[in-house]
Amino acid sequence: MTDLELLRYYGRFMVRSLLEAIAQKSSIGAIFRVESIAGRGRDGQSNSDVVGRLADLGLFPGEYFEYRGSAPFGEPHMIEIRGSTFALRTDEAQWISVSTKDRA
Amino acid sequence: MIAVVGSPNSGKTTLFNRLTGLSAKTVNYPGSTVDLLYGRWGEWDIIDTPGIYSLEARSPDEEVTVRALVEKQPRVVMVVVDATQASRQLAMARQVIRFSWTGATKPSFKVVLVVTMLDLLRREGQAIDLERLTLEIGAKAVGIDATSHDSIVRDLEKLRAAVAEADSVQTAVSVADVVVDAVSVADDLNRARDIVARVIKPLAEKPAKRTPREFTRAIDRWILHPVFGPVLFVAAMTLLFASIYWLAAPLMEVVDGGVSWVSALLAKAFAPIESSVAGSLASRFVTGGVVAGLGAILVFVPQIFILFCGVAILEDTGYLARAAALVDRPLKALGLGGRSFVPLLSGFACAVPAMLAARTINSRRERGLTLFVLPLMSCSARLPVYALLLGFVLGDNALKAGFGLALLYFGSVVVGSVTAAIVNAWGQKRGWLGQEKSFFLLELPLYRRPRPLMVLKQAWLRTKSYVVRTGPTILVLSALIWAATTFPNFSSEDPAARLEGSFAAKAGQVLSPVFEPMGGDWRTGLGLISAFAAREVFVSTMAVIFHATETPDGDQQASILEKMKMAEAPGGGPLFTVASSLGLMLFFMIALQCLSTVAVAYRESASWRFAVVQLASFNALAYVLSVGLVQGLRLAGVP
Repeated sequence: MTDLELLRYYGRFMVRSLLEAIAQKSSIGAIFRVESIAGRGRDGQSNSDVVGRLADLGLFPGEYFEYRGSAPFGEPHMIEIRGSTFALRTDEAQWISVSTKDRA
Repeated sequence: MIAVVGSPNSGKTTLFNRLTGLSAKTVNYPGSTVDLLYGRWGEWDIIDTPGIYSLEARSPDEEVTVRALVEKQPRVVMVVVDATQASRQLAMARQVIRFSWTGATKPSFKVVLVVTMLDLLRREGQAIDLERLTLEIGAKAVGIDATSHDSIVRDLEKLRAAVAEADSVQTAVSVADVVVDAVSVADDLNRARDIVARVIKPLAEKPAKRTPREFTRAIDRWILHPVFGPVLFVAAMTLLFASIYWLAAPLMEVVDGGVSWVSALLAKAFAPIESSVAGSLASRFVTGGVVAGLGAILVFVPQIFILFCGVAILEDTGYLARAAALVDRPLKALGLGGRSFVPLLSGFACAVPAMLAARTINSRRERGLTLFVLPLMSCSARLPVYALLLGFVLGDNALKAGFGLALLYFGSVVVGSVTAAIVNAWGQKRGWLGQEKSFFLLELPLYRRPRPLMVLKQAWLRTKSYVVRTGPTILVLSALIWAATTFPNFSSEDPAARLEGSFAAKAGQVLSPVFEPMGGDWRTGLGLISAFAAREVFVSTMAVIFHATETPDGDQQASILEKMKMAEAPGGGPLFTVASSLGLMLFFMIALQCLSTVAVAYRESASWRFAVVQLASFNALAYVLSVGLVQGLRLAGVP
């Protein structure tokens, strides 16, 4: 494999924030794997409410979900997980880190 | 006692409605602003709890559900699970089952698992093995197949048998506290997925048609499209409002006719004692105070009912959740949110049920702000006033009047938005709204055909809350204002003479310097005072004060307009001018003149300060702006 092909191949496993990942329009319909959900906000305060609520929905590390697009004015972001579609604001979605690793 | 528990959109409330018919009533849960639905199902009392995503309560709604499981001591808990979302919702079912066993050798309640939407699951090309599920989850699982009336009746019979059996089991009395940790949530979810893999199997033959999920995705591509989405939204809202006025107009006439008929009937019944002073006073009290008050309440029932039917249809199809997602970003900029959308929309019918609808907003800050700006939405009671004043300014031209009305509605949205933005900005700086981390979450359900009975029941419950909450206030105020406009000159034969010599007129005269800057005099003031019973009373007060004659065909407005044109201001010249009418319209657009709304605002915010600040600031703002408008127009040469 050439360097470029290698970069493309491993780039799919790259962990990045969900917001970054969905910034490309082509990501509508993409399957993402939850890598982590930040336990602390930028101010250093505990994020446990967000982590807990996202976990209730099934969003915890290791789980897969589909990004279904964002509403016309940029948010909320629609994701489908375990058969339900949820709309999340940027305020909450910013804590989710994902990779595009394919489902095993 | 049976409790119904389930995730939002699990079909929980639909099931509850099916079981209880029309016997359900909403009751405020003690110490919270959350409502529970109470009803009877055969020999059982049954309660419907707010939807929860897990037993670890993260919002006031969820807290009430968890508290109800502890405090109401249900003997049987029905956990409702949507079969198409079982891999998530079964996790919550596992939590409830585990909870029923906490700290005891006997369960504190028995769990019956109700698996709904079997018809949807089949259309997805899958089927569920309920016996296997019963063994896997450790609670009796009953399915509900809503394909046909017969299938529902058959399944509800099975459910009844399962609940009766569960009810006969001995249970422990005390319940320990709920302890759910984050680890077990993930664990429950993983277990739920394993269970689903074992109990839900694909059907032998593939579904020929598009599955509900594919159908929903196809529609969402248009509904949430960057361009078509907002266009469709505006079209849907326009259609909703247009239909309210077209459909409600004939019904409102029927109500109006009915009220006059009752009034005439009562007047006839009082005729034998009419000759005595007391008799004539009693007759006038019943027709002018009580029946007129009832009429003021009932005349808006058609409009409110039709609007809530529209809202319920949009809700049942699944569009309302998309609409809320669509407007979330713009509303967020004002400090509101997607969940404020339904309350604000309802505010165009009546602020009272709209404030109750605001209970579904889980962010305290967004809820407070929504409650605050709600009275600025142009409710139906303002319509008769607008119609009269627009008729005065624009003449008898339906097109112009329609345009003027649209402008007034647009104005009310603008004023509401600006107020929300200002209060939000100040409030955050000064901490009025409180600091809290809220979690915005909307679930977008699958699209489906609206079910007429569910729609009618929803609309009926909300309309009932309007009648029950506003009724007593409007009746009492109507009687008070009747008394203020009748005494002390009650023996006079001429209604206008009675009014001119009344306490209310005296109050109007004392206050007339206040009304002069906005282009009015004591008569306008009297109209504004009487509008506190209900805004539309302004019109009937104008009718009495200017000796408008009631024509038999009911076209009173033309007569009022004629008399209003002839009315003279104290300093000479006409009393009603273009400037003063515009000022009055602006006043009605902003002022909070509805004491029922104030009472409900107090209850919903649980704060006198909130209600008083709202009342004082809106009325002060309305007054200042309308004085500014009238004086400005006069300076610009508009009479």
